[in-house]
Amino acid sequence: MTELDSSRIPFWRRHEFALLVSIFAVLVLTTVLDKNHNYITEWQQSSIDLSRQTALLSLYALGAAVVIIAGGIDLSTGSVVAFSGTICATLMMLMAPEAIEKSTPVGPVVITTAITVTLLIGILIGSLHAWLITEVGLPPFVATLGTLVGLRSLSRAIMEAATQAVQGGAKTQISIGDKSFRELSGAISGTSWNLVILVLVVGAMLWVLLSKTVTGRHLYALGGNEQAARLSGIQTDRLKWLAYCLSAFLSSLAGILYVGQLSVADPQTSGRGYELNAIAAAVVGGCSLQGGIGTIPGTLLGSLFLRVVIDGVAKIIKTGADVYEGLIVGVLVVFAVTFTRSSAASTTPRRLFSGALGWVTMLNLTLLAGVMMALLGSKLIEGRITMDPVWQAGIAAVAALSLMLILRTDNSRQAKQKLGALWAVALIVTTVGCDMTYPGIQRSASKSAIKSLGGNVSDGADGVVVDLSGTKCDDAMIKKLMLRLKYFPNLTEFRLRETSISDKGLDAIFRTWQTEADCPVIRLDVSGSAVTQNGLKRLKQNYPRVTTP
Amino acid sequence: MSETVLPLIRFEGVTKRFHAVTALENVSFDVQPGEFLALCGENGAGKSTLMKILSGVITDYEGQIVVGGQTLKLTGTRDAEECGISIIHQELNLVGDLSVAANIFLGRELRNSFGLLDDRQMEQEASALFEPLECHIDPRQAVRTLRIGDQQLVEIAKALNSEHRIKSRSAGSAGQLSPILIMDEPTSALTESEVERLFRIITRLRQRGVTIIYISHKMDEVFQNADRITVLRDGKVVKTLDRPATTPREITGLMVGRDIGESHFGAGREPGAVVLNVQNLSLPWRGHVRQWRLKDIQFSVRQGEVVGFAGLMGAGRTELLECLYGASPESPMGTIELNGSPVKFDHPEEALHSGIAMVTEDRKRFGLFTTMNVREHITLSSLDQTSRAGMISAARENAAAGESIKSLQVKTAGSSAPITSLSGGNQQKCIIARALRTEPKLLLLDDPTRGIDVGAKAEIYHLIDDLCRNGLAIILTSSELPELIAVCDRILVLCEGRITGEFHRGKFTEQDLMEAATASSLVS
Repeated sequence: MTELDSSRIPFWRRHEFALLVSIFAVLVLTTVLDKNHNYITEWQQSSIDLSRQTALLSLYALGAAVVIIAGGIDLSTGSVVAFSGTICATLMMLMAPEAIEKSTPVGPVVITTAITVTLLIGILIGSLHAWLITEVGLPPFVATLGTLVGLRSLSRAIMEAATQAVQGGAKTQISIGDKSFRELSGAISGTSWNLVILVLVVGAMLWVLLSKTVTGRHLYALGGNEQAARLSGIQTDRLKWLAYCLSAFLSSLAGILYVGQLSVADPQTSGRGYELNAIAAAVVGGCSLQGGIGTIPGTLLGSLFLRVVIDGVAKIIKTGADVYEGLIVGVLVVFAVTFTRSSAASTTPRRLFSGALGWVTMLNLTLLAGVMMALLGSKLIEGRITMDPVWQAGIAAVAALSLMLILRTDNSRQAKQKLGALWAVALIVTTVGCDMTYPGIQRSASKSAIKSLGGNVSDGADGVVVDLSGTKCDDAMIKKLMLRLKYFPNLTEFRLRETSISDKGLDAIFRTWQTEADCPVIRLDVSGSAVTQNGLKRLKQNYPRVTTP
Repeated sequence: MSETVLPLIRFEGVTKRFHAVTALENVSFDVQPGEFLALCGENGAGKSTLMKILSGVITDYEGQIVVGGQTLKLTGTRDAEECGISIIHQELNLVGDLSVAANIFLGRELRNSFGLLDDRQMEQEASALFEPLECHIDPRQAVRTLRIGDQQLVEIAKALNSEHRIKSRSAGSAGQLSPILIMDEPTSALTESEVERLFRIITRLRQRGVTIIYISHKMDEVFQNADRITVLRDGKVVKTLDRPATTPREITGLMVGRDIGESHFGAGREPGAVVLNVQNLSLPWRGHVRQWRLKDIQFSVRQGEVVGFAGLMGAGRTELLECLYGASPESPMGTIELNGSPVKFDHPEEALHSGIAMVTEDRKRFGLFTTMNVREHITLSSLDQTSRAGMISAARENAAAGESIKSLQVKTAGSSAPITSLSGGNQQKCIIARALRTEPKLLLLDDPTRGIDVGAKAEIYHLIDDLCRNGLAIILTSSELPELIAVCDRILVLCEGRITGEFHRGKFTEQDLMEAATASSLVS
């Protein structure tokens, strides 16, 4: 008879489900917000890139997850990736020096041997960790920190010694051109099937290990309470050995595949910071750094979520994916841990901004909001807003500060919700208001600036006339003025007689508008200024509508 | 009863809810100045929650507390100390790596004229605090290295220190309130002599006008000291009684809501063949004056026999069980024979395979996996039985867990319920089930009833009796002598690592056991 167990957690309340929904939401958001709609127009390339990066991240994130579930931590991932890449490439070079130098095929025997030995060395590294932790008695943090620092240096030394011996000159990297080796990570055919299948197979095996076997149950017990696990008759030291070996093995595998993908083994740059990405993926995927909690599917989804967010941000703001990668990973980890903690157990609502630290934190977050808006604002809402980044930053900072002030108060939840709604309305009204008054303010500011120079802004027959004749205005000044003058939509005439403006200044004026068609200026008077005939000629070629007296 | 004395503390309709669970419901009663009020109730009755409210640990609750005629408004434990209320928690609140003096002055450190810590002064004052407590604890010693009983005295000294401070501050001001000391099950980790010492200290404190609220479910302690007894059950006040007008039996009856007799087990049990035979077992203790944690231990245990080990804290009870279970930090000397053949274990796994299982002391630290559920707890040590080629069979595991839940009457919402959702007694049953599922021939129980309520204790005594009648050999240790006397066939007394007495059923009295347990300290 099966007992109806009401204490099981339904799927839709599990961490994995929340991750799935989040991944879907981020994908949809990216598709919509990305101006080029890359996910639709180039869906094949996008999905190959995304799946390849996710697969490689997942590979070593799974290793990190096993160690974290067992109550440890492996900080050596990045260096093991670099070390194994170095070893694999060096072995191939030693076995087939000419083929490597000429980028000709090295043959399957060489490849298989190199990979097998590298993976075995990965297991040796894991065993070293296990020995340092269980026998020497070092904390996992220290043991793996040691190899993190040490292995990278060792890989470089090996690389230089080997290239010196074989190629006659010490090099810091080895290029691998062998096509069948590179195809292991899909670099030749430009696909990611190999990697995706590999990760799914590894994931499935680890999932079975952790959730279906005695060993897996013991790993969870070890992470949950090491002393109790030992007293329950579990060989905790052997389990740690297994966990650290799995982690180092998977990092080595990833290291080999990275060499294939990049066609070069470079111990100095490869795998830098990967250990933190791996831990982040595991934590976002629901693993608890206290140990005993976490799943393999969760970790896979955690890796996917990280990559999807990094990719999405890169697509939306059109920068290289790595620029904001660290920031995204950091923020996501903090949120993931906060979120899982608070949903687990909190009886009383937490006060986030109390006391002196609260004030400093508010300052902190206000500054952060301002800086983020200044950096990203123009990219996110480009073309839909006229304010410059400084104004956007100011509004974002004030908005963040006022929101935190509302949260800081002792009001009840309902009152806070009302205030929050009020805040949102006020924010929208203020932003729109500022955005509408912004051009006017800029126009009047430019007027008074020109007046103080002794010039004049007046309404001519068909538009605005800027008269700076006889003033001390030079190239730098006009360049500055143009930042504000551009908010006159019908700026038709410039009078710049007897000024020190040169060709450069002229360029500055006309470069304010992106195309010739946008430029409203049709009359220009530069007689007596430092502008040369050549400059004028060039201008007239580019802007044929402009007339000079 | 004199109506003229104004109550020192008056609880008026205090209610506290944790989400759906009501921990306290409309609790109202008075505490008179200078009295010893015992607060009794099973675990989960709300005693600790109530005292956490009084000491400022919990600040959001309904109803009000009037202290000395003024409504108490606390925002934290610091506030409570300002009002003269200190609490000694069941789980001690000390920083293990700091010195005794640093712990006593934690949060109100003394400074010298440079504004730096004045360790010398703090150590002197700490010593002065220990003087009336009849103990000689070095204030510079790290708290971690003290025995639990001494650690508790550090807590008391800490409380006295804050009381002392209030007195010196408000010296001369009229109408000063009596300081209030709350003790939450202070004797649960103490040996008999430490308990006696604690009671002498309490008497002295009362002479100095300290009001004491004492939480306990040990009737002898309560009846030895209390002026009045308030019984809580399911978050409500059942009754407040004057001590002379009641009996332990009535109080325990009120606590559990039913009448439980003081039962003795073991009548008519017949020990069988020898299961365990220990010869000259010694465990060295490097760098200690005693040199031996255990010295020349000899005893045997038979099938269907419960052998108890009595002894003070530090006498070596836990160390002895760890030696038998292969869990001691270094291997013991001497021979251990299991069913006639000598054994030597380096790891608990080997002991389990040979048929020795152990339920460890300190459930939270050595027994419980807070991340796991009930089923995983029960089957953890016996997964080999429910798996094939290393793969766990979910159906067989479920069946095994279900069987244990049923036979041990574990109260749980289901086998997948988190272990943390169970009461202490039921958690302990799961841990016992884990040991039993390995089908041991010898079961080691190290203080299995510590910190669990009266009802669950009785169930565990019954369980021990049943197991024993089914032929299991059991070794039991306990810090409560009456427990050993009720359950055991034979009691061996340990004192400073040596066996100093052996008593058989029907011939043991608390007096004799106590004398044996303190024997060598009397000699030296």
